[in-house]
Amino acid sequence: MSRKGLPISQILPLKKPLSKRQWIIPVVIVLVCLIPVFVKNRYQLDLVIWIFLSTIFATSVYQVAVVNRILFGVSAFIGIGAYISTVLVLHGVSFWLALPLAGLASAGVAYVIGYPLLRVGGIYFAIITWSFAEVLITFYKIVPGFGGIQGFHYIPSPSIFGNEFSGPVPYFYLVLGLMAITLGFFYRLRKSRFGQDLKVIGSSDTLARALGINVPRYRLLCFAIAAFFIGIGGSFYAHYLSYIEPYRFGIMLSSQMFAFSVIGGLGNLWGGLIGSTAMILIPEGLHAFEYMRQVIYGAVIIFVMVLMPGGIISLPHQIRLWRQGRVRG
Amino acid sequence: MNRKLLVALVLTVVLVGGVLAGCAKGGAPEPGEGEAIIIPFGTCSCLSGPYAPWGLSEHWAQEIIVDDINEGGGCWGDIYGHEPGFRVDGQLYKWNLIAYDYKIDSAESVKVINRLVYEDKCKFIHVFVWVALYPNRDTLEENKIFVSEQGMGEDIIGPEFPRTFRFLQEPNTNAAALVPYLHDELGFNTCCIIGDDTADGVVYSTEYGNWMRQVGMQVLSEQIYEPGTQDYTPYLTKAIAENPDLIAGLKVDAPLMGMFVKQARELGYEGEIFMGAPFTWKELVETCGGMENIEGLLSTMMIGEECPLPRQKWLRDEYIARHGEMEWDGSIVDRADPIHMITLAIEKANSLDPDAVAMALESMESPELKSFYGDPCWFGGETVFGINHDLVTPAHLIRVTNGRPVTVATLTPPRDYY
Amino acid sequence: MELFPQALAGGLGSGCLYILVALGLSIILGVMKTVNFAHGEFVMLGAYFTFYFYSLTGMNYPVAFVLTLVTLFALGFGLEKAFFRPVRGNMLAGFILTLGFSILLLNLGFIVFGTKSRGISGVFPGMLELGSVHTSVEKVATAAIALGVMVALLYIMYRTKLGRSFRAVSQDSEAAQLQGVNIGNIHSFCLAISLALAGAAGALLGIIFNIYPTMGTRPTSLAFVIIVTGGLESIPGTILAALLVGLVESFVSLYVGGEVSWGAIFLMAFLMIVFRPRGLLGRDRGFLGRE
Repeated sequence: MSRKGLPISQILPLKKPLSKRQWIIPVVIVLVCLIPVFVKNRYQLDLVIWIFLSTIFATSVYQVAVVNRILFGVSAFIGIGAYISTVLVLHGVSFWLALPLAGLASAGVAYVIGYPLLRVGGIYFAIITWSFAEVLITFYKIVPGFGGIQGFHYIPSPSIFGNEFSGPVPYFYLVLGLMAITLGFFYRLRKSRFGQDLKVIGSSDTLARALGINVPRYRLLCFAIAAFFIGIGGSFYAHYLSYIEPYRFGIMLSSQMFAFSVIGGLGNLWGGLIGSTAMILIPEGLHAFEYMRQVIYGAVIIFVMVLMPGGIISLPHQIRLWRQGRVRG
Repeated sequence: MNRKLLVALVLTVVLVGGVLAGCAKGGAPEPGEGEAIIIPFGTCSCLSGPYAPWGLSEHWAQEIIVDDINEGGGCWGDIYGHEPGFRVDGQLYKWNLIAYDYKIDSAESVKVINRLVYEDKCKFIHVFVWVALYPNRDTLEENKIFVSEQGMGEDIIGPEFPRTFRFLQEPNTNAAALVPYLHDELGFNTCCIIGDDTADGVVYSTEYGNWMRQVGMQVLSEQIYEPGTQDYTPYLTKAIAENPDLIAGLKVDAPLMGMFVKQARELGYEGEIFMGAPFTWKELVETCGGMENIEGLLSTMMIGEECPLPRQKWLRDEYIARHGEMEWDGSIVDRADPIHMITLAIEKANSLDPDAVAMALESMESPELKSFYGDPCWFGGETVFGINHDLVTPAHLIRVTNGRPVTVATLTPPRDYY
Repeated sequence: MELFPQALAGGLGSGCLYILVALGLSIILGVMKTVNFAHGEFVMLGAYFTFYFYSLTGMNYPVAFVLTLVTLFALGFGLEKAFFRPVRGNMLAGFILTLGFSILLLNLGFIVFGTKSRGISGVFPGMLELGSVHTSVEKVATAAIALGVMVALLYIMYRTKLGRSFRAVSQDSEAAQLQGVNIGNIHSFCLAISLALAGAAGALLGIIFNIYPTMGTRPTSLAFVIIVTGGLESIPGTILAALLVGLVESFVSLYVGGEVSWGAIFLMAFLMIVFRPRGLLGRDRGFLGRE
């Protein structure tokens, strides 16, 4: 097996080279790009933007889960991306440069703290990344230059060729592009030699080591790459909302993005998109219930987890099990 | 694998479609009963999460006011002598209150404001706390929405936001009125400030601290604690060790004030305590560990038990009738102000155009403008914000006397300062 | 008034209550291999139940306390049987399931219990002066009761058959089943005891602090930090870490400043894992968590 990765013809997910399947993909791409035309108004377009942004975060969480690490402290890296990007832009750096720099900062921090932290697994890693997020909140509050307790109000919008972003449409295409890059990158990663090594690490550390894979180094790299995309998403988050404050990047945001990931399903790259879609749209349909809304939302989460512990992605598998007369668990 | 994916995607699409179908409620003006046209008044409120007590009490107060305006009787009819609804150019209108929960989350606020503006077609939106405003400025300004805010926050009002008004008693105006009284009349010379580490809390500490220094009081120490703390003993220990005349718990949240006072007394402090935010009487009594602990406690931003004005008494009775005695407290009065005042301004401007309403409201003051907090009231803020869009009301100083909250003084903030 | 003894006493007192808050979570993690994100919400329920039993129906406090424990025990048993079976062994699913419970219980709390805080008063009235430390009878009494409950739990864990089963399952679930342990019942008992502990913590916290629907979010965070600092599967570690967290919070608030006290606790946990991954007293197993 060549170490350079698979040839192009085997990268597209075709079991048999059917030409009928090949044009579904461009059609889907065109339809997605035309979403702003299909939606009724800005409210709905905004929902789609949140779905795509959350997908970036949720899919990165999935990517870290591939190597058996629960990144519960997602908001730490969202915060790093948001804050670095904002601080750079407020010092005159162009948004288009600040965006990748924010991602790199996030990846850099992940690389540094990942070195000692990735040794521990399971719940430890989850709680520790959450602790890191809380420590960062205190950092943003007390270190001068990061806005303090007030945070940053009215963060400037990006501008392209001199035109400032106005309204949600430019943001839509930007986040669509970012999401496509993220998903595409993780997809290619999965097919590459590195990605397959990561999968082996995911099933068993010992096996991976026995095969000669440098487990700590690969894990660290995977974590840093995921953090890079989270950081980029964080930068978008800051500029789209144009308002960030320290307390924003704590347990609430983390558990939200993490829930999207798990509810969608961690078995598969598309879990993030599916989980985000479901969990962002359901509360919007529940508005009529006023303050019972959150109660019902909690009940929905419980319901989904009890019926489909593997996430929505696992639903067909569940149905197959039920039809075979076997109940899960 | 592809079939799994397909089924999951199909299910999601069906889910999405179903939800979106239920999405739009459509608040466009429609003929109501009789000859009245019903127009939507949108509120971006907080109905769940840690700030639910304040958000829910605001929402309930607004429900009472909207019903009152629509049905007549009560305050709008009996006390103000007004017919049900309000008229513009002879046409009768009534309000439809649309409330969405945004949980004090800036991301959620974008969805809520977009929904109110684009789906429900509201032209008048009330926002609970400034967090909902920063991300949505462009939307609100582009669509020329009239915005009323209950909360603080910098850069909320200003000449660049001509249709935005603020309705909370600002710490600066309260401090300007109260601090001289505390120093001159009550004789406090030294003070220790303890506040919470939130954006609002820092404003309180700063404003009161500045005013104290200005009138010649000595601020011995200023401490900040993490929001959500229930254990104030470290901070109180340090404050009590400095032997101040007064301990000012600025922006200690109302549910926790009982704790604050109880812990201070447990540490042996027998001096005076001043709360910069209003206490909620029932909660205070239940959690303070004994009425002797709170005897003499000073507070502000609420009305005392006496409810001097008829409209205050009406609001209290109506609120208790709907939600029970436990839920009422004297600080809820001002939550009724925005919708009432906006309706009065619409009638004065004789127009539903937000710009005209804004100009009318700006120019109104008591007795034409009636605040549930009390008179006199007017819109100030020009020296600080460049525009007079911040409601200024009297500052009440409340002291717990013989086991009841009694109004000690009603002070008017200086007119020229703000 | 002297600062140091006051801070020390305050920290130890809080620490004792934190022990109770964290122990429940530690047991679930060890035996059921998952986490209860809604742990703080059950602390809140315990506080409210005690409030209703004591203040509204006039029982005396010890009866109310025991009744709260029993109610939460039954609730834990029932919840595990009803909801937790599909997520058994799946830590992530358990995480999100309990996250759902957390959201549901917190907001249901506002609707059922009202938005205003309640309090339990009159149980241990009076102030105390121990040396130069000013404190109150209720603070000392609740700390003592917390330690008593802790001792009771240690007795169960190390001197009863149930406790032996817990420890067996926590070491190796399959081997324990081969020895005849009924895994379904063990999980149910585990959640039941955990919730009872949370309820006890709530009942005690309700005396010295306020009772309101969002009072659970802080205990949840503290519990997680404590079990991580103390070391997985180590009850002595959890106890020590709880006291440490109480002390750190007290001293940092007094000497450094309140705005960094919360961050300081998390920083401590973070540094602990960086420099000593097994925690204070955790056993060095060679790997931690799932491999």
